[in-house]
Amino acid sequence: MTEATLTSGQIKLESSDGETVTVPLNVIKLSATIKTMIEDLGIEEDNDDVVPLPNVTHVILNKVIFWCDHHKDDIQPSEDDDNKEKRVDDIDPWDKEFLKVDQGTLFELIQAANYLDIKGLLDVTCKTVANMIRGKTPEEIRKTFNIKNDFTPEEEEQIRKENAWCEE
Amino acid sequence: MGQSHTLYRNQSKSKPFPDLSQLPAELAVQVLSHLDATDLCLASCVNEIWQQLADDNVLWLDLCKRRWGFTRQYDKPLSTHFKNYKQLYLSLDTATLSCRTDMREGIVYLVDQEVLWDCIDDIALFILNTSSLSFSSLRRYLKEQPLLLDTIIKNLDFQGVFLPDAIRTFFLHIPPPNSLTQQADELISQFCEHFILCNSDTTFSKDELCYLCYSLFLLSVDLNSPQVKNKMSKREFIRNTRRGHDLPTEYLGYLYDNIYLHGHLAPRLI
Repeated sequence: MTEATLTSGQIKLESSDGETVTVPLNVIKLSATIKTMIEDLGIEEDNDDVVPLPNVTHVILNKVIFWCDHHKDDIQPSEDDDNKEKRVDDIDPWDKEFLKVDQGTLFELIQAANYLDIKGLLDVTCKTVANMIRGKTPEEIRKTFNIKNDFTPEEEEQIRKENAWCEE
Repeated sequence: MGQSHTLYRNQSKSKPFPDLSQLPAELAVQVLSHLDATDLCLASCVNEIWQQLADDNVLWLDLCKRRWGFTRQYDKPLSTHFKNYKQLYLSLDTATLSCRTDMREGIVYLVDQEVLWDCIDDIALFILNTSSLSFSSLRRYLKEQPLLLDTIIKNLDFQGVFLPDAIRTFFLHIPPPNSLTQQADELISQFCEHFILCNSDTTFSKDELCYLCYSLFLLSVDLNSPQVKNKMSKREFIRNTRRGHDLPTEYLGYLYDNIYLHGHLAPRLI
C-alpha cells in the first residue's frame, strides 16, 4: 500500500457490537495498530474487507474516530520525546472539552486507545485520570472512584506510617 | 428521544464503577506515571490494589532518575539496603534534605547506603546530576574540598560550546560567588583553563578569556538588573571591550546578542 492511498482511501471497521463504520485512512492512520494492519496485510482500499475490532464498542469507536479526525494533521511526536519531562497541566483545551465524559467512557477510551495504539489519545486520557487523583487524600480518592477501603484499621495505621513521608 | 436517553443512563449505571483496578495493570501504572512522589504515597493508602499499583518499581525508578541522575543503584539489582525503588527514593530524599544543612552529612549517609561509592568521582557525578541541591550548602562544601571542585569541572564538556553558554552551564552546577571577590577570580580562572582544555583550537589566550568573562558578567548584570536604567548598547559593549584588547568585532557582537536574548549568566544566586 502506497503513501498516496493512505492519504486518500477509506477503510471499514466493525465494532464489537456489530456496527460497521467507514473511516478515511488519513484519519485512522493515527492508530498504529490499524496502520500496521493495512501496511502489512495489504488490505486494499475501497473494497468490502471489514476490519473487526472485537474490543471496541461503536459508541467508543465513534468517539475515537472523532478524536483522530481533529488530530489528523498534528505533527507526530518523535520517539525521543518520551524522555521529556512529564507535565500534566498541558492538556489542550479541545481535548479537555472532548474528555468531559463520564468516568466509564473515559476508562473505555483508555483501553481503546491502548488497543488501537493511538499514543496521543492514550497519553491525554491517562493524564485526565491522573488529574482526578492529584492532590487528593486517600479518602477523597476513594470517594471519587467509589472504592471500598479493604484495609483493617491495623493495616491502615501501618500503611499510613509507611507513607507518612508525604505529609511532611 | 426521551426514552433512548433513559435507556443509555440505565446502561451506564449497570456497568461496574470505573476504577484503576479495572484497567490492565500496565495501563493503570501508565496513569499513575503522571503523578509525583507525594501523590503516589497518598494513592497507595487507598486500598490493597491501589497500594500494589502505586508502589510499582517502574514508577519509583523513574521518579528517582528524574531527580537524581546518578546513583550506583540504577544499573544493577538493588542492594540489601533497599526493598524496592520507593525506599531508594525516600532515602535519596532524606539525604537531599540533610544535604541542605550539611552536604557532608548527606553524602556520608548515601555512601553508607551504597548509593554512592566512597570516591571523589562518584560524589562529583552525584552533585552534577542532582538539580535540587542547595547552593549555599554546596558552596561551603566545595570551599573545604578543592579537589572535588576540580573533579566536577573536569566532568563538564565545553567542546564546541559558545562561551556564554559554557559559563551558564558552569554556574548551573557550581555555586556562583556572591560577589566579585578573590574567590570569584579563582573560579573564573579555573573555568577559563578548562574551557581552553576542551577547545584546543581556540585563538584566545587565558588572559583574554578571563577578560571576556568579566566583560560578559558586567554586561549580564547591566542588561538584567531592573535598577540599571540606561542599558549598554551593542555598539558600546563592542567599543568598551575592544579598548586595550584586539578582539574580533563580529565575535563580540555575537556575545552581546547571546546575553541580550538568553539572559543572565548565573541566575541561581542563592
